[in-house]
Amino acid sequence: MSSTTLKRTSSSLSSRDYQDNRGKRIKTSPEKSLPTGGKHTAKQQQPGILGKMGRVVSNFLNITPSSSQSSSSNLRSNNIPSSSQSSGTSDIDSVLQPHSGGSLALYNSYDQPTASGSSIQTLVDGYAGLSKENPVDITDDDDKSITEIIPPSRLIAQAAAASSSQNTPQIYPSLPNNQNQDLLFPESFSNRKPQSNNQLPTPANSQEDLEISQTSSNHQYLNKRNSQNESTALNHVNDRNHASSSTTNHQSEIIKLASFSHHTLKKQLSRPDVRLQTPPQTKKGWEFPRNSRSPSSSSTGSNRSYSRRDRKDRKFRSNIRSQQDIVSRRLSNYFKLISEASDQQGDERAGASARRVAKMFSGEVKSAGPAAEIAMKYFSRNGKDSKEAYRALMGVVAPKQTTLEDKTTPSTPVFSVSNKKVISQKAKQKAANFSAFKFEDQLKVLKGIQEEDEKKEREIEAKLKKPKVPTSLSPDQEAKVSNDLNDPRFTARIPKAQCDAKNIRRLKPTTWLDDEIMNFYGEMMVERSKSIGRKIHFFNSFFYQKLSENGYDSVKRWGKKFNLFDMAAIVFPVNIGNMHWTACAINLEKKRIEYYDSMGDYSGHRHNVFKCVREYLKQEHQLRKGTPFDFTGWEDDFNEKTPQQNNGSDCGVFSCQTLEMITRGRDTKKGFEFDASSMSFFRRLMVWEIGNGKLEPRTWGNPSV
Amino acid sequence: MSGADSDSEPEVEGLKEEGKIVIMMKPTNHEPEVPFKVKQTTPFEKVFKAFEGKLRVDQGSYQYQYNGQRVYDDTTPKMLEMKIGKRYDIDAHLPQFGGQCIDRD
Repeated sequence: MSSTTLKRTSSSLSSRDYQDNRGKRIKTSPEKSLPTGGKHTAKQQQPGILGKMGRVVSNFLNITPSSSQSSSSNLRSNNIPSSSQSSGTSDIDSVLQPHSGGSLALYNSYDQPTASGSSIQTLVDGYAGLSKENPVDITDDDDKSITEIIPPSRLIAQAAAASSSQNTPQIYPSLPNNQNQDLLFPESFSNRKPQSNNQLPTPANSQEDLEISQTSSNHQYLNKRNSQNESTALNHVNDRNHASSSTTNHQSEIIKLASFSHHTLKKQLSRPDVRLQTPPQTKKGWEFPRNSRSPSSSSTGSNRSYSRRDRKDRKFRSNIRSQQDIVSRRLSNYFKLISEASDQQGDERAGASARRVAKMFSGEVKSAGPAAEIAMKYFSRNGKDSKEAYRALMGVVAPKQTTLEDKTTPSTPVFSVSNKKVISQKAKQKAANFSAFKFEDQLKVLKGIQEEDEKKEREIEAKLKKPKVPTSLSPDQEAKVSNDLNDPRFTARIPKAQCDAKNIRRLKPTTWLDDEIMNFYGEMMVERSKSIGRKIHFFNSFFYQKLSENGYDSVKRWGKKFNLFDMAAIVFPVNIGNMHWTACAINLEKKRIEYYDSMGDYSGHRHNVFKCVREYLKQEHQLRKGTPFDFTGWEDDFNEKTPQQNNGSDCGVFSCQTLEMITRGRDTKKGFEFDASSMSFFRRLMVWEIGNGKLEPRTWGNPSV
Repeated sequence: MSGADSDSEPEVEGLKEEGKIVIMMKPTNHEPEVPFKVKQTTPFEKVFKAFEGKLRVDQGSYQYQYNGQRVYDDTTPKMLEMKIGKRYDIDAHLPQFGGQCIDRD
């Protein structure tokens, strides 16, 4: 047993009474009642409580307490609800219920002497009764089991003690009972609690204090407490008029004992587990830990129980506190003690320094002195806030220990609102210093890039929009063209072609073109191709007519004077039904038979053209080379992108210009350089070219020649 | 060179002794062919006039070509490398027109 029990009970009791009370109090818990209770022989001295004990024991053993009627009637007379006939636990509950008259009334009720027999006897009788009434149960359990529960020797001893106690005068313990009831009903301390609060210095943070201070305060506490209990006990005794010389003797003994006990027993305060009767308020898993007390004790709880519970809670809280805090607090307390001690010794300077150190440990670094300030500045300059700096300081003073906090908080930064804020702020600061993120500079760079892009785009657009075909000739050219068109004696002649006035007038707007112009123009292309080094052959407009009407034999001698298969391209205009001019080109470089029609696909003539051209190539190759023509890789290309005429007269111009483009070396797959809008210009240009006998250089085309 | 042989113009008997060339005028508009005997130095103007007179068409109605080459009035067979004793074809083409106006037909 700890010193607490001793102190409480010994305040107004003799050591023997204390022993009895201790055993008795232990017996209040039904689980412990039997094995420990048997040791004590002096139970007979308190028949009231012993009777209760007997009931408890008998109830515990499923004995109907018929023989303990006396004690139960005793209780019943004291306004305690009689539940002795029912189960023992409910009886105890009834006893433990708050008494309406307070502990004093209850104490008085228990003070009445009872004439009933000893509880041990009832216990023995109960056993006998048990064996009589329910033999089956006992025999089932064997005798051994009974002896195990209560050794027979102890039973005998107890019975003997009971018989002896009946002779002795009943001295009812005044204070032990009171104390007991007070402990059972802590609210009865309410009237004394403020006194003790005023008088006694309660140890602050006793759990965390140094043991020196703890023990010393405990000494004081115990002393004062005992004296106070003594005085109150005296008061009670006087009030009750039951005071006797024996009780006063007891008290004097108790004082001695108490003064002895707390010198010898220096264990920490602890309270006996009297709360077993009042079911402890179990905390649910989801409940927040709180300073929860039972409703009865919360209002009038004694100072002791209050502080103890508080301490218990604090112990629980201290677990989740960091070890660093605890250590620092202890250190600060320690230094406080040192400062007090040095103050007492008269060394004020040492005391002040110690106080300063204590303050430093308790976190009040503002007044900790220059050294701590310097340290704090150093740490804060390295980007630590006050808390971190303090911790670093602590790390310098004390070695780092792994705390619960370190274990619970992961070292790697996790997402949280505070973390996010800090990270974003840091990133912003970093970005502000980083040149790549300076908005204005980047804007300038971007603007420069954009301007460059726009410039390039404008150039490209200008190239694309550059009029492939000029809208008009130069004024003197225009004048000559007009003159030529109206000259009746106009005649133009090149080695292989001739153009007269009646032909040149065919180039007037909205008139059809004839073969003379087509062939003249074709011959001009051949002349030009010679000058630019391209091997081009031009068949005149009658080639296809003869080929399609009379077959290959009619034109077999047309390729006699040149090697057709050595040419880059063979071009010829195609006259369809003396109505329509189209253009055809045998592209030997790209192995294509190209056909261009400015009127869509006029009467589906392309198939005939391709057929004739293939026949011609085949026969010609057979005739000239002696081997059949290899058509692998050759394709018939009807160019869908051919510019289309928007009237009924320009097809000859379209054909001429298309052939001119091809002989110039432009791949028509890449697009055409003219359209119907420039036909009037081309008519006048052709007049100019025919009159000149030479093609004008195409400055707008690609390749430009 | 079989190709060359087949490509060569046929010879006419008795012409070599005369020292002349046969010019076969071949109109493309289904008119009858008209042969002429000419000397190497005779300009084609005489042939064309005779041909047009035979066919009773206006002068300059036809355009004459030899193997795709334009034959003018002042051209002589020697200029076209025609050899004595052989027959040569001269195509007489009517002029071609084109403008593609469907409405006209």
